[in-house]
Amino acid sequence: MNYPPYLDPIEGADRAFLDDWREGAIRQAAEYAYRMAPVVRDAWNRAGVTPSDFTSSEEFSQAVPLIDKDSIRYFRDKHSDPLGGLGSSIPGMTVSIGTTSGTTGDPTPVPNWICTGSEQGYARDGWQIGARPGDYITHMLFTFRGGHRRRYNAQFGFPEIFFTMSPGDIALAVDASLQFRPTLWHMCSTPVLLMLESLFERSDHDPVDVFSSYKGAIFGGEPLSGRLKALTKSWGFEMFETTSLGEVLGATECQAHDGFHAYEDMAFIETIDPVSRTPLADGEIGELVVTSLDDRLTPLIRYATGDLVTIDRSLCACGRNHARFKILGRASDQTIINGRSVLPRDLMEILADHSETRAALFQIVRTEREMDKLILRIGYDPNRLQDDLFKLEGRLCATLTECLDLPVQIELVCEAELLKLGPPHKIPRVTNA
Amino acid sequence: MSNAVSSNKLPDFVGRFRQGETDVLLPGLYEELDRSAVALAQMLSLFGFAPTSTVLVISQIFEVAQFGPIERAIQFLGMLCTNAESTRFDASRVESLCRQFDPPAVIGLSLDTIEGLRELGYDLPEIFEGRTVWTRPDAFYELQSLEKVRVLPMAFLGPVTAMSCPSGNLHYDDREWAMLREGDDLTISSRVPRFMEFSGYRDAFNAAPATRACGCGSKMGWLDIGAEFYV
Repeated sequence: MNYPPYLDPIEGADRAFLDDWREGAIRQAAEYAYRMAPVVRDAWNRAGVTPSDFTSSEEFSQAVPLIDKDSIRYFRDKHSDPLGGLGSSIPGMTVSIGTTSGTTGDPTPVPNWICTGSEQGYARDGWQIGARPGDYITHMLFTFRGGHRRRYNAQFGFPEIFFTMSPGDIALAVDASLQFRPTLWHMCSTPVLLMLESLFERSDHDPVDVFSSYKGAIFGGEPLSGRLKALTKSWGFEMFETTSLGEVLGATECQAHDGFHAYEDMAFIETIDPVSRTPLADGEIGELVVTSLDDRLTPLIRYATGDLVTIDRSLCACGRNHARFKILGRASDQTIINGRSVLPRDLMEILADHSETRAALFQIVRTEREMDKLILRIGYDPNRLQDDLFKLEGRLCATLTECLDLPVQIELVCEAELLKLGPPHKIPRVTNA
Repeated sequence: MSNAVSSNKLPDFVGRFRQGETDVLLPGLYEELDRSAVALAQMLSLFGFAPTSTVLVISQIFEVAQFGPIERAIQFLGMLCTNAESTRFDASRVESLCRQFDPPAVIGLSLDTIEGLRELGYDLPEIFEGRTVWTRPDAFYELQSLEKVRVLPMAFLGPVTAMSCPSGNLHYDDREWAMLREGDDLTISSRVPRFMEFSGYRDAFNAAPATRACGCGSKMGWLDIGAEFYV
């Protein structure tokens, strides 16, 4: 069969269509949320706003108040509502309650429809990467997002082979890759790649052969380091980075690797000034704000994500007009050392350059947002120690101080201890203790 | 024993089951899981959990053949399902979901989760009080001393999942599976077409299919269990 280039025709829509479609979709989504989501209605009532106060997306951005994770948690605690006044648990429509990873606190419940926006988005991403009906998918995710009820890929003829992100399952996934020859791996992460690297170092497997059937892998959890990018390239295993888009959706790179695509039929994205909270033009650095357009169970309206991004709505080299954004960091991860901003991604490449810390597992210990020295807890691989810990500490301190031009204090811990802080695809990068 | 896989059709998923100490890949179809869900829903309805309540399922993603029917059955009964990983690292999610949703039932509790909860300093009676908890075999005796928790067993017999009824007997879907005690082994065969069919699958389960009716009212088949069945 000659398959079309996109799983969903709206991926090929031109800019004018997307802009026109958005106007109606925003109005519908906002009216629904105002009626059904108490946390949204409360915020609007406090701001004196009703759905009749805007007629365009521009007026929507000017008039409608923001919500964020804290306002949802506040509503949850105040009203003993586990869905935080946001989710509408509707009999017959809600089939399950998923939860977020909970890296930074109590996991946030997210009601699921029979097919979530996230599933639909990732199916489009897989198709874009090159998977076609009849191809197997290596599915390495968690149950807490949607349990065993996700069937969207199977409905399109993609059998999924299920694995956990654990060392034992990595070996099984390699064996299954050789047996079933999947075309997509969803999802890869830093710990998964480190486990694969370790497995290949101790076995006769040829990674080029293992990954020869793959068109690519969706990589998430945190940014892909330069070292792992080079490593996977040497395996012929292309990584397509993905990130969360307002808790309930994902946004993934395309073949052009020029930013994360936000499907505009699912979400409206904009940026605001992180301090004044006023809308910014596309292209300016600002905090990402997401409005979900077709998710009636989790109707996020102007949800401020905390991610610092730039947005580009020009035609992408992949042929799609759907908006892209690039992430510069998380506002909440920012630490100010002697007046200078330090983000976790500033440290990854530096630490990955040392054999003992090539996994770049570390935490910024932030007791205050502004500090006079950078305090780091760094994980090391005891099997790769070249000399004693004291000397490793000295080498790391010297490199970090030279690269960052900041005073640095280090605590070294076995990297296995840091991995216990999971969920397994990432660890909290900033901690207060 | 022979396990035959249909060759001219794709599976919907590839899960796993445990054969002794080995993981065996288990390709299957979602319609097979839905069939078992119907049988399970009839048995779970005997517990009288309130529609719209939320049930916590603790599993791992590759256990789709084992927990997929359970989740579907929960949905068929008008309840909602929420999930945690059956690992130490995700034990805190079990505590959080019990606190937030007050589930009447917790299904699939493992020793890993219990140890994770203990390591984090949680009080097990506080988390599970008032709930019906189906434990995996390795966790069954861990909660026995808790007075206000209804602890029931569940078990995995090769590709078959068995869950306890209100009377404490382990039931399995006997429309899907035929079980026979042969010497020291229990043999398992599929009775209707499946993507991966089983014929005389053998393992050393210390159990035998019961021939008398269970007092719970469920029509599903059930097993007489030997004393050392649980770890």
